[in-house]
Amino acid sequence: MWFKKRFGLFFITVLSAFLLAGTAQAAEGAPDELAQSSNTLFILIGAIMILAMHGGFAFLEVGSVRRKNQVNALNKIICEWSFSTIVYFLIGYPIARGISFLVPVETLSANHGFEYVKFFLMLGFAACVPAIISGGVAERAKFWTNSLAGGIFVGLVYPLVEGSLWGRFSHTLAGAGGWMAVTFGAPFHDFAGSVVVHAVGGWLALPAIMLLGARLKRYESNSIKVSSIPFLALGSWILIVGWFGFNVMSAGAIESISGLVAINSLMAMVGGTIAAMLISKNDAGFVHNGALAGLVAVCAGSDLYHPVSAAVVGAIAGGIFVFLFETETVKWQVDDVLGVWPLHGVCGAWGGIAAGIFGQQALGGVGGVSFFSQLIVTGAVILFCLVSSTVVYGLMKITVGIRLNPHEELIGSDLAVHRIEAHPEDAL
Amino acid sequence: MKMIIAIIQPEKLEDVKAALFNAEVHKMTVSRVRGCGQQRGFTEHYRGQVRAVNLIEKVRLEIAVNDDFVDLTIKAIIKAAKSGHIGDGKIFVMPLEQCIRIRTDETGSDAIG
Repeated sequence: MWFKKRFGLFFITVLSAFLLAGTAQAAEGAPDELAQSSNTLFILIGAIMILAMHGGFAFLEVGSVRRKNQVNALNKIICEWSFSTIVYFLIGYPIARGISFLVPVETLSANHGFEYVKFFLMLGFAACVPAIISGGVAERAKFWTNSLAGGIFVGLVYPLVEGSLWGRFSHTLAGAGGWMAVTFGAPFHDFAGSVVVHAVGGWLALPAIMLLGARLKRYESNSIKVSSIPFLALGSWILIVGWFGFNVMSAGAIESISGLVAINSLMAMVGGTIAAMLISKNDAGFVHNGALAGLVAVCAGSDLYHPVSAAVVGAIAGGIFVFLFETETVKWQVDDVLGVWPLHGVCGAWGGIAAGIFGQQALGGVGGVSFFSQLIVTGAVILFCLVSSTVVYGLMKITVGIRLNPHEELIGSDLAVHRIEAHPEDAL
Repeated sequence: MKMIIAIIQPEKLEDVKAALFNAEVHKMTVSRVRGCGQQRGFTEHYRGQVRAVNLIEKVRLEIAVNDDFVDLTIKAIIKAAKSGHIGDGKIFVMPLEQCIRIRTDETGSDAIG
């Protein structure tokens, strides 16, 4: 009996020694593995949250157009997301980042496929460009020509901006050690894309909207209404929630995650909402877009601001949106259906410049930014987008035409393009 | 007293309202209706199924007027609703037997005005 007991003890000791050795081995490999897989998961969550934002774009547009164009808004957003994926995968991402996906799968699937989810995340940003334009040209743009323009922007125009400010050309141009950094003491700083994404989308949209012209009878009778405040608000909420992935995951790796980015995004959102609420006397459209205006503006400096400054930056953006939307669509009679130029274009540019003001240490920020780098690069991006869009939409306008014919516009793009109404049961 | 019923294109409603107000006709009842005339309908496509939809959206105005306002009202509607295309709509005029204002018990022409 005692022998058996002894043997059992011995056996357990040996076994546990082996097990411990095994654990030790796993522990040696663990930090790297864990870091890599966490990074992949971190970026993937961001990518999925931005994917969800595109549902927000869709519903914001569904609510903001007339009933006869709701189906078009929905189909447009999901189709343009799909076109963007293909174009950015094959052309855009290689231009911006110098990485081609047409290589053996083992090459990029290393590190838990980090390169692939990074593409997914960056695609989410790139695909915002046609989604932003979509809201401005709604209810009258031809489906195919608008999709083609979106493809050109995602495949070429956006990647050149992304490459210069974030990607492979940034070392010589706007990034650390680049031209801006040498000249003005600090590189251009756009943490999550106020300029790179939103200003690009908004300023590409403006020439498109002007070349298209106003919707039929927009200014003759002032009879055009929005179809659904609840859908518009739903779209806004989906965008707001997804935005926290857009901004926080812009850190690029989990070890760089910053709660400051999250709280600043929150403060800018509420700043924009409250400012828009006060200025517009609690107007539903302005309140829900004011939140977005704050979020657009905070992206660039969300890792730099003090939360109080973030609220101020957002509040100014909310004010800018209300004021400029009315100036643009009423005074200048530029029929920007969702107000994408004031929202993404101007608030995005304001965000780029604001990072150079409220990001400074003197104003409670983290510092390391130059006002002039911010101002000059933002201005250059605006100019580049205005020219690109004028060329693309201008050429298409004089060749194939960019606008539905009056009959199609009258019956609505749902019936003209998609051959169904949004609520088929209503058709008796 | 006449009852004028007009069926018009929905997008013409704002223009027709403006024209009626201009002609000093301020009282009307408006409803969204579905109907079919010469314009026919459209075919609806969903997941490969094709279905004919004959009844399309129109706006119906009901306006009760005194006799000296009949022509004025009709002219205003035509002027504002005409596009020259099929689907512009129709106007029906019919005799109106009685009209009573509920608040005051007024009847006839006084009640309409």
